[in-house]
Amino acid sequence: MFLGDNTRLDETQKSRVLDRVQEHGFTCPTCGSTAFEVGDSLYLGFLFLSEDHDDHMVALTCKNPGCGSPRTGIRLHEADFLKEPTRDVS
Amino acid sequence: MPELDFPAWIRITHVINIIFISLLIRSGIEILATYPKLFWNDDSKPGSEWARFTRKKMPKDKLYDTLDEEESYSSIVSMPGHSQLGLGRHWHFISVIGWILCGLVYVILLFATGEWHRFWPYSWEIFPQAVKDIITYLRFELPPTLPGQPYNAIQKLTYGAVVFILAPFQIATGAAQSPAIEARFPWYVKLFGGRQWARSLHFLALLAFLAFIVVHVFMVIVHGFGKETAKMIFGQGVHPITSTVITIAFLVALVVFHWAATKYSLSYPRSTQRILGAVVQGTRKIFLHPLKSRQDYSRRDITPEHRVNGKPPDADYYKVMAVHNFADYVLEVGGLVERPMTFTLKDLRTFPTRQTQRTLHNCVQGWTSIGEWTGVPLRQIVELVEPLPEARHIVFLTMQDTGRDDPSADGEGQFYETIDLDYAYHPQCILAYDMNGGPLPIKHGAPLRLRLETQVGFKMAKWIEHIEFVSDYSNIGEGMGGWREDNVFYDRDVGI
Repeated sequence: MFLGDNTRLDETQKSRVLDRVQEHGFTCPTCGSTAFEVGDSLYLGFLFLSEDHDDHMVALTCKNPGCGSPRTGIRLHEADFLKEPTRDVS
Repeated sequence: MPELDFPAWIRITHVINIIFISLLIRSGIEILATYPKLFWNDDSKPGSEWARFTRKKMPKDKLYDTLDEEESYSSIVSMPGHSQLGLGRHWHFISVIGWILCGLVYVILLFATGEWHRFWPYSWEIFPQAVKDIITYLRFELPPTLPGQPYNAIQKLTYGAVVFILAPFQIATGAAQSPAIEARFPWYVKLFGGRQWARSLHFLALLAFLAFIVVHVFMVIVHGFGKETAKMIFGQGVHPITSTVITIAFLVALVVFHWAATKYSLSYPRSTQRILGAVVQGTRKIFLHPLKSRQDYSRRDITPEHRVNGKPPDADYYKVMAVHNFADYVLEVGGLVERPMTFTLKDLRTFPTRQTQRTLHNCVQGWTSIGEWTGVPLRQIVELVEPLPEARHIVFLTMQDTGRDDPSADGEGQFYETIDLDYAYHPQCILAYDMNGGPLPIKHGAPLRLRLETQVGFKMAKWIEHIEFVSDYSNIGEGMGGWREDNVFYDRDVGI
């Protein structure tokens, strides 16, 4: 499968994405479903003028078989899913 | 040897030459301003330039394109000035046509009348004599002319070099910057060491012209302004006061002409584009349009970091499509065709013919890079949709909204470009989905861009979403045949 500018995510990163999806209350723009399969991520900060430096688009595919347009995405910061959360030691 | 003097045709072509040379210099500086860096490599790698005429610094953490590097020079040095590359190109190319025609007439008459003897060094003795002449000048004395000739030895050698070496060299290096000529005759540009060598040498030859003009005018003053200018007005050194007055009046008129032409160009850019473009376009149609690309650069020639012009569509629908590897991408092909069709990226990737080409990319700004492109020959799409007999042009509509995506571009609206239908049948005209062995990157036009190797870069639309066959493009946008033609007054058929 083509990858181009995209980055393949590992299972831990995909799991973090699903956590963020839940936290943000993200739903499928087409059918309203909350169940998604996580795909690749695309770093937006460098390529697109309007994006913050650590913005990423993460591919989400709606799991609802009846969804008319299942491919969507969520914008996340790098710390939201790519890195281990830092522990507060204070 | 006939007696050499200053016949009327020499005087007339001399005056015409002054007009065209002055236009060429100013419009050439306008073209330089659009990418004010000079290289000795065809990669145009940032930081590897040997000369730069800008203080701009580019960001490292954000995509910048070469439009961001453009400079705005004053109209005093460039024509018309204020980053008007399109208008500068029109002035440059129309002056090139005029200058070459004037030069041809001059050279033909030079040989037809025997006046070429004035430049021919009959003996090696002329070289030590020229050195002696320079020493004489440095003693603030005037060297004698050669027996029976209008010039001394150094004058003869210098004028001969300008007419028979410098001027042809400037034309040759200019032609070597034409993508149509480079594409058809790749060996030609390699004669100069590459496209950026040709551009750098063209610049150095400009400096040589400037140096010649300064020394030439200084020498006219040293030898006696009135007497010397009289030779170019009356054919002999008589009436020095009258000739001085006429020369000054001519120079004032020349300045007024430049001022008026600059003012008109900046005030009425569209009509300047139409008037000058009509002449330039006709010449291009004859000499450049028929040329077909035959490039095949080697893998080791590929530019490690191909330069970028234009910024990608800054819209969520595009970003979502990209992160899903353009699985939802659909190319619509319609207009004046028998069978309108749609193609997904997978359709295009599984076409029976998959064409790969390694070619030199020429940006209208002057930089180059070498890339490998893979895609579907456009002629195959054309054959599938079957254009109606009245279809004459192909319109490429893109996902780029220039006002939103590319603030450095001077204008707004959806980016589009048109090409003549016959270009679709050129052997290296493809819709590319791969670059350098991988998927076409977003910054280079993913998922689909045009490659038409005989044209400059802006014609090769990126981020294509729709292709339309039309009989006429005058009702699209501003009617000039493309977004850049509409908004920044570029020429449409850009084989140079």
